[in-house]
Amino acid sequence: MWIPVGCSVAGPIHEAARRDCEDTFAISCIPKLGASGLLLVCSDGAGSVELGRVGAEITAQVVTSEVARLATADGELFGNGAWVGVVEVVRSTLEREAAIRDCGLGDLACTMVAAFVNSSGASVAQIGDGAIVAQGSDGTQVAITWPQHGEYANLTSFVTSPDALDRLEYAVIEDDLQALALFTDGLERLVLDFNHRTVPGGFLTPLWSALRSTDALADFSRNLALFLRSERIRSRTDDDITLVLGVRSGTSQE
Amino acid sequence: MTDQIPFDAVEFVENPEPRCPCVLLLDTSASMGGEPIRELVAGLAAYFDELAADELARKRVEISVITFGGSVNVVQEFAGPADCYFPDLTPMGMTPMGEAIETGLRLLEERKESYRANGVSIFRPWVFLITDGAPTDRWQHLESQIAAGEERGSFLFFAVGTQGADFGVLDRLSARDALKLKGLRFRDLFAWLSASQKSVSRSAPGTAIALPPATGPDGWGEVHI
Repeated sequence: MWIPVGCSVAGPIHEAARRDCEDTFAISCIPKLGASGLLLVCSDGAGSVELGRVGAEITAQVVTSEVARLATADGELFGNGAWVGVVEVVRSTLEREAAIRDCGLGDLACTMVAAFVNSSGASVAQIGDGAIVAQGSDGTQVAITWPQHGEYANLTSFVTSPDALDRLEYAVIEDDLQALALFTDGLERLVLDFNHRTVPGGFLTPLWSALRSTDALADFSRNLALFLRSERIRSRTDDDITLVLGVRSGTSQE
Repeated sequence: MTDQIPFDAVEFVENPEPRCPCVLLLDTSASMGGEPIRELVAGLAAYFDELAADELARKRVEISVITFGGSVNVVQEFAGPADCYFPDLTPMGMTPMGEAIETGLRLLEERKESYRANGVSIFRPWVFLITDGAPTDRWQHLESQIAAGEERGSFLFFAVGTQGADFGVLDRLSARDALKLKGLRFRDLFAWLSASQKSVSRSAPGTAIALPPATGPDGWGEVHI
């Protein structure tokens, strides 16, 4: 079974402007898949728009409900077609929300970072920045998706962008994954090596180890929040941060 | 439990900071002599200091200074604000603005290539032209080059003219309206530029870059008629 935990903290630039954290995440186990099914999602609302936070919450909720609806008990993993379908439902839900609020679709701009795990492996999908890192059955760490920044550091794609479906990146991993991490762009430069396009591992390995060995998930969750708010982190990034972790536990003691 | 921050075994990757390159094209032709050049130099000095004093801008903004007066001089290659060599600007000669723009765009492209080769990400670059006159060399071919660059998103090109500048030329060169400096308010112009670049250098994707207003009663510039 999987042990998941997640945390979102607002960045100082948002706190100073009295804006809520515009990142959100969702963790769900999928009942029809029993202990081996897990869905992890994060979404980062665009800071330039009024309702990015609303867009992010809707995105996380709709991805969760659609994946739960589409998941089958036979271990089939999602291909591109299934993820396109999920994104289309997200977009039509956002369009309805925009109509209700009498705003443009772009006012709900947000990213989507999602990982669906079952007994066959994992299927992931992403539009925008942030990334998904997995630890394979052989213990190696790899970035399954990479932040979509285009030419400039302060640009990315959004679920609401006209070219969202062209920008949808997905991957299927048929492996007994040992651990997963999803994060939004606030943590990118601390976890990923942009020069070599690799994951050095020094960030996630200690966190995954601690999660595996914790016997009080609530304490781990509290400590994670403390860590993400710490000066060490804040001296490197002043953006909103979301980190979602999952480790597979297989021993009978856990 | 103590107040120790947990997970101190976590290591952070040291990535190069994303850069915000800025090219300043400054008119140092003979007509800039006297008070205009004094005010320009004072504004420039304050600009370097403002950026150097900001924690993120100091690491991210890179400035190249190119003057055009008589000849075109690259007085400052791309450098962070704390490393900017303070140029000795002596007004003289005619106004080779066309050659200055060509040089600036070429150096910018070379710098971007260097960033790409070293895995350094960047913010959209700025090219900032300040003049008190009209070009005395060939410039017409640059109109389409600048327009194409803006269209591709290669850079943001701003033109600022003082009283007496040829706004007909500036409006053709720049994709956006050229701004007219009120009097010799170079210090305010450079204060605006440093504030704007501080905002850019801390912007995350999708964050609005709320540039302070350049025009209006308190602004240093106005959209000329």
